[in-house]
Amino acid sequence: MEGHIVRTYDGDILNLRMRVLGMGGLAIDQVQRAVQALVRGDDEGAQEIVARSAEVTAYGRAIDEEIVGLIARRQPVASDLRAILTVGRVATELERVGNAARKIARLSIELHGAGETTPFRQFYNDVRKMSRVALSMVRDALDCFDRVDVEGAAMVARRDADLDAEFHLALRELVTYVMEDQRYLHSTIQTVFLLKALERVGDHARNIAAAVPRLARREDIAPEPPPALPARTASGADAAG
Amino acid sequence: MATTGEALYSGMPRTSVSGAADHSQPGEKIDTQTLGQVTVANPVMTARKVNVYYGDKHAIRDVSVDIGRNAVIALIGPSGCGKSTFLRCLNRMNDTIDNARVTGIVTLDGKDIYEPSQDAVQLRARVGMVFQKPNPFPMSIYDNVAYGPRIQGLATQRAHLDEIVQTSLSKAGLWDEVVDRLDNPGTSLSGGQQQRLCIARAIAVDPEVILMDEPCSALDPIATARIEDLIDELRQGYAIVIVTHNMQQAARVSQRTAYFHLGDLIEVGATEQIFTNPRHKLTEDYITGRFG
Repeated sequence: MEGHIVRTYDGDILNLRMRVLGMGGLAIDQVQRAVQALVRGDDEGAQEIVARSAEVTAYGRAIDEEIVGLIARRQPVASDLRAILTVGRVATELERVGNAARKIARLSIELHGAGETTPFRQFYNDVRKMSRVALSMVRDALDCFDRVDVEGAAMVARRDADLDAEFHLALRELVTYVMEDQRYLHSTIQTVFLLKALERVGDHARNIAAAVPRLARREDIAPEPPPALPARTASGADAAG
Repeated sequence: MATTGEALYSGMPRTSVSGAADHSQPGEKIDTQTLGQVTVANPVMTARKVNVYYGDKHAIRDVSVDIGRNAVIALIGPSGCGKSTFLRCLNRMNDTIDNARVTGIVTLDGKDIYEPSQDAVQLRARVGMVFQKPNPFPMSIYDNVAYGPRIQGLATQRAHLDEIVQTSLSKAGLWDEVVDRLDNPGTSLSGGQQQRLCIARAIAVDPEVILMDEPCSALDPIATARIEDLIDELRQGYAIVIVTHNMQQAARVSQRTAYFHLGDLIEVGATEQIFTNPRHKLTEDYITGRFG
């Protein structure tokens, strides 16, 4: 995305990308803390996550505005335009990761309030494991975004299948609880939502990874040198043909 | 002048060679290294293997491209890439340059414009031109527009001439602004109005093609917008070839865009494709402002 004659244009694009990485850091941190609050029974911490979720949204808005400004001022075309719109898409995915953190925090508060009639503690390990996989995917996807590493991004996207498998495994187990005791129904549904939120974080990471190739300048579009034409003499006409 | 236009013409072989032409449109196979859609259906003008030399300098090399009817084609590229040189081949303006020599074939409605029997003045009535700097003749607004029809003998009666002047000024979007002062000198108008007057002058002789060499580079953004709007309207009746340094302008006004680089026509295609998915790296680097 660099290499423009107008170097401040490169600077604008770099700032935009840095902002997205900053937003990514915040979103990852939010999910991490939300899972911690759940496992530790820390409702105060969970409240804090909910309160802070507006920060991620604000980041998204600011990036949106920056993109609008960049388009208005620089009129990007071709690969630049595609790259800038892709950065916007990545920001949207990160906003949704932030939303997942808020959802996990809210569900955690509700589940803690439900007391002993809930089997969700059995799923701490699943939650921990899924959040570890999902967040490492987001981190790696952002790393690939930063380095415009198309191959790495493809590998990140493939890891989403593992996360989906974990989710379905946990789901089957949860079903058995409900079948044993219907009092668990409500908290089981909440646990499903919680696991689903983590599974969605993986989807967002996969979407970010899938966007990386659109950042890459298409180096392979055509031969690098201008078409080689036979050297001409000033005598001209007989040489043409 | 050392040579005439007729003597410059070197007579290329009439049959075109089929080769590795990269184009998808109907039309004959042509031998070119240009990427994209070189030919169009039912073109008004065609250029085949056009070369221009200014003395020893080889200004453009083997340029082959069609000019479609009722469409605007924009010629873009860095300074010295040959886009204006190519434009000037289309109405034999290069004839007026002493040491210029043109080879290849350029046709208008299928007829070679460099044929010895082709009269250059007649040709320039059919392929009109609008220049970078508005250049109204030192005469009244009316006479500026009436000049061409008069010398071409298009109107014998005053009423007919009045009609041509009014129609031309209306088509150029200038009539309402000058109807009360047709006798004022053309140079009394603003820059944008002068340029529209030049467009009216060009269309007064009922051309088929209008060539525009950076027609807005001396105008402010509002006057530029007016001209761009006018170009879009004019395309209903004419084929327009526009050279522009302003890539946004090329994107806005044209249906096809041709990218020139150091005398080669690198790529030509639908404007939207050129500005979203150029096929050649040089095109991409130029339009994204990365040259180098």
